Amino acid sequence: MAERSLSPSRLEALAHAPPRDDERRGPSSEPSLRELLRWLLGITRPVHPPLLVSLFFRVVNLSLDVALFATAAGGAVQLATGGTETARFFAALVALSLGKALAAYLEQFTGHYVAFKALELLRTFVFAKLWPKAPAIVAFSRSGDLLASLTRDVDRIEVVYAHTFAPVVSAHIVAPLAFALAAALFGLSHVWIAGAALGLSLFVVPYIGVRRAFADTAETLARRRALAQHVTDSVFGLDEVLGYGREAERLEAMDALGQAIQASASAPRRIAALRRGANVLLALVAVASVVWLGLGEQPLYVLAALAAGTLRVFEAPRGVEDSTGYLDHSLSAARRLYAISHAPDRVSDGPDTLALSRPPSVRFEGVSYAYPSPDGRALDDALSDVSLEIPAGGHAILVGRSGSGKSTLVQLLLRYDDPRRGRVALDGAPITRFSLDSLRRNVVAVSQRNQLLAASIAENLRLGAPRASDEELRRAIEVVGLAREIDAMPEGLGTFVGPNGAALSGGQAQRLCLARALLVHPKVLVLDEFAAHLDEALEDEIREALSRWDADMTILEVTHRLRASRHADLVAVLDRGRLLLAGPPSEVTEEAIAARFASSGGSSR
Amino acid sequence: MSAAARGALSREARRDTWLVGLSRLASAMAIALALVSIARLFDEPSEASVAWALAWALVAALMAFLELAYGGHAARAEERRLRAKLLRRQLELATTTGHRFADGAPARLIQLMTDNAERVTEFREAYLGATIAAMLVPFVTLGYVALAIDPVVGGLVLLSCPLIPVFLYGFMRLFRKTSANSRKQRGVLANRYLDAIRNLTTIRLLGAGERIEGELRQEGEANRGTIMRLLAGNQLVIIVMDGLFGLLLVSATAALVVVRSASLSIGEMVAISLLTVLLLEPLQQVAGFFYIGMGGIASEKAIRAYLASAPGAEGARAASPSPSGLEPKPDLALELRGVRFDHGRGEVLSGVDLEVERGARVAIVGRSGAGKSTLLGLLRGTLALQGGALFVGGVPADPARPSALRGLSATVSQTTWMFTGTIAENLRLAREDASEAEMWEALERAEVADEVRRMPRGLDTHLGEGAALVSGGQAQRVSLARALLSRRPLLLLDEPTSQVDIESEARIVDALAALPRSWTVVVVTHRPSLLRIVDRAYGLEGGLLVPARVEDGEIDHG
Repeated sequence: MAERSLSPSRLEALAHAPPRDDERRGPSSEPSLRELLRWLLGITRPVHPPLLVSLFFRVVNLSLDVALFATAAGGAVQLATGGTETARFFAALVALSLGKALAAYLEQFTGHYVAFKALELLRTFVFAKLWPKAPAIVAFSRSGDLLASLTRDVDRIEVVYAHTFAPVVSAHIVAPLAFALAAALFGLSHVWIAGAALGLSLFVVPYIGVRRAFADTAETLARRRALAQHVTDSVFGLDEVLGYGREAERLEAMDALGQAIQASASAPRRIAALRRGANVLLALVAVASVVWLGLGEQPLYVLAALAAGTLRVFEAPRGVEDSTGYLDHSLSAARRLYAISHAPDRVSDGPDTLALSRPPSVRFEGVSYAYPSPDGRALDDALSDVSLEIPAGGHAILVGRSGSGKSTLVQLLLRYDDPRRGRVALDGAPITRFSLDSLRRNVVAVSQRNQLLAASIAENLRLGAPRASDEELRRAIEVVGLAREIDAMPEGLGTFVGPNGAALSGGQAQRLCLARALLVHPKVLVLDEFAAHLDEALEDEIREALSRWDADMTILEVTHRLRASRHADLVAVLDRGRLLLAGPPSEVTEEAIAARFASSGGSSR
Repeated sequence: MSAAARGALSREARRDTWLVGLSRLASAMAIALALVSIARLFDEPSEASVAWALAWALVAALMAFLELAYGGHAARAEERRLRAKLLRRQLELATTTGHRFADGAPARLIQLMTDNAERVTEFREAYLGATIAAMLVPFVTLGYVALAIDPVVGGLVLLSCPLIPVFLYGFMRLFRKTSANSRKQRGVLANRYLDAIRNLTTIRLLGAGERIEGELRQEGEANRGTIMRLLAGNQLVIIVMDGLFGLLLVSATAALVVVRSASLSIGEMVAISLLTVLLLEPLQQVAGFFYIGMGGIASEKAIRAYLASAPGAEGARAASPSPSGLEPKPDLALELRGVRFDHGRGEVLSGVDLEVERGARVAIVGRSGAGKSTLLGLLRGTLALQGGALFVGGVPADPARPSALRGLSATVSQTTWMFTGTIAENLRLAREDASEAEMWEALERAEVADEVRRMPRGLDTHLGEGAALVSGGQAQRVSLARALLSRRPLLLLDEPTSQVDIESEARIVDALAALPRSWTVVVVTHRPSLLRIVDRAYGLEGGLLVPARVEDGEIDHG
């Protein structure tokens, strides 16, 4: 969109650059943690009951695991010393094993249920919040970045529901319960060391170095972004790197960035490693302590059971080890979703409904526009003081180089955004007076970008006209010269167009988009480089056919080729956001443009 | 592991994988020894055993620390090596074949050098060694039990161990279809969402938002139902896995201990019971496989494929020494005699002759695909000469070392990539020691000095991500300034105005027209405005250069 500064390759690079993961770029009024959680819990309310069920089975699973190992160890010793029946011992083992397996299954199943339901809820919620903000939220780069991380963020939050909540909470239930039980059965003096170790493992170890780890992780991500930028520069600027012999320098600078990443990534690693080491130590100390303190006080089979049980209880805190780090990532993700969902609407509905019975005149009155910049810096005007009137039913051509502002101008007609100065009017009435939906029912655009859903041809055609009959679809594809090609496809109108319309040629996709626009029966048709993938003969054929489409339309066509102007009533030339020249095709020629330009001071110095 | 993997990863990386694995194994073994020391207390309470237990616990903790800390360190170190290898590879490919990108789009390469490099090293260095070690832990533990405690218990459980993967594999096979189905269902839904988000603008403008939202909701629900039904069956594997481990390992070990109780001390029985916990070690790595393993393996494949792509055999194949005894004519900036080139799809240049005297302005025109870029590539030294002779400023092109020509000319391409950094840094790319005065002079000559002066910090204006401060037209003029700053007397311009605004085009034309004759200019173009300022033009047709008549900026084909 911000075509004046972003080359297609640059855009492509940005789109594929590694997602800027954990950058916090919410709106200026960031929600407090409380607000954020309340908002999130409000969305995911329906999964809370199954989440508790999953938690319950997780607790059962962990408890039976401890019991299984304790029984196996204690029972074997007891049998050997003649204290119990073999059959009862093995029956207990089998029952515990099966019970544990069943609990594990139910935990997993309900966990998945929660995961998919949460995913579904979040996706639906975000999509519902998102579409009314289009196209502005897509068109402006900053939000575009947010969109790129949208699905990843949704996944991140889903993971908390599916894989973080139950382990963390169950650890805080099972470990204290086990300690309380042991203390009640064998006395605090026997299990106090083990209890202290468990407490450390649960309440101290996960928080070791959390602050440092967060800060360094944030730093690492910032350095990774710098690295991605450096790599992007090296790859896209390969010609310059080779041409000016900068290979060694680029390699060195890249490695220096890699080294910086290595440095800032090492502390979080060491902290994670410290947690793991601490948990290993604490578990073994606890086991040793329950045996040493119990010797002579308790029968050996009890000590054996206690030792094995203690060893397994430490599985619970192990599941919590790195959850603090993960929760932080997820909270950042939630913040970004919050920011997208609460992004202000750039345009709002007017009070009236636009109903046109015939094509209107389109007037741009002193329109100036600057794209919003990501960091509040003032961007140059993409359009400055453009005034232009297209008569009712006329066909106007807007010509200009890339970056001239021609696409921006027609986007203002569709209210992607409102002009900074001046206004756009249909039949003299400012378009801000009308509801967005009614405006866009009357003004329909076909853009140069291929905008097809991964669905059938018919579904794509009916996107703007859900009630269009098959006959109407036929007429539309005939007008755009697509009927014969579609008939040749085995499934005809039911043919699946693939993701991004990949199953169609560029020209077919473009004509399909045109047919889709015609089916809405617009009174104003905006064609933005619609002929980019068509050969000249086909282009002429379609222009011819367009005039036969049943309703009259005012047509605004954006193009960089002047040859299209033969059919037009009005040609307007834009350059760097200014209207250079406008008039009938006979007056607007290459020569006139050059002359006009020479006199406006390009070579005056 | 495999031979091809060795090609992607360094020796150090392979060594580090082993070191990480050994730390993991050592940690597990120290845990085992600590547990054995604890169990010894059952036979004979002694403070020495407690001390040993604590000592081994410390070793276990230390080794666990080392495994994680060193794994992370090794991963980042290898990531650096791998990235450098990929960039070197790209530079080499560009030099030997002129192929800009061997494996798909440049964005793909960036992905390989950033995200994929991180994933593959994380997998190889931090995960793989530990996982192999974790797989070995049960065998080593049972081996210890067999040797040090009881050969029957250790031996029999050891023998049953391989049964577990066999059972698991059989069960997974049984459910492979359903689990593939469930993955597919999940994929379908995720793609529907992505598709809707990608087409958000269209959906909104055509007033289909509410409808699509409803459809997605419905489909999501239906899809979720299907997945849950599939999962209900497929997750039975969990019962089997849990049950197998519980019954087979824990219960079987307990049973054997009971059977052998006559020849075992209480301490030995407790030791065996405690050691069974270590048999579960492989399970610790299962979750990681889905997060780290699969992504890492896929990334490694992609990187390997890129590194293995042949460095364009055709580049080297047709290289033949230039005809001997040819001497360059003096005072020529460029001299081509019978230059041929073949990308492997038939000759694009079949005997091109050209003489350009110093200070001349020459245009080359021709259809797209006629070989203009190939010709420029040869002149710049990014393509190796295959046949004929080529001299740039009297220096002969060497088919074996095309890069030798590179310092002799400066190029302005169709679009210019601005590097992150200041304008000055972008200019100094051409000559590191350029003074500010020299940079301003070059900017003046390139007709962009005014605009740079108006920028917030002049030469020190930072061109941030996306170079939002310069337009395409300005970037082209900065590129021209950079070329002039390089002091290379031959300028090669490849459609320099095809992507710029009309005003920039006029200024570039002015700049070139005003350039002193100490520079020689060769420009590939179709623009009348540029054709007006050249001394003569050539058309590239059928692999040959033929003089073209230029009449007021238009090529006269007649």
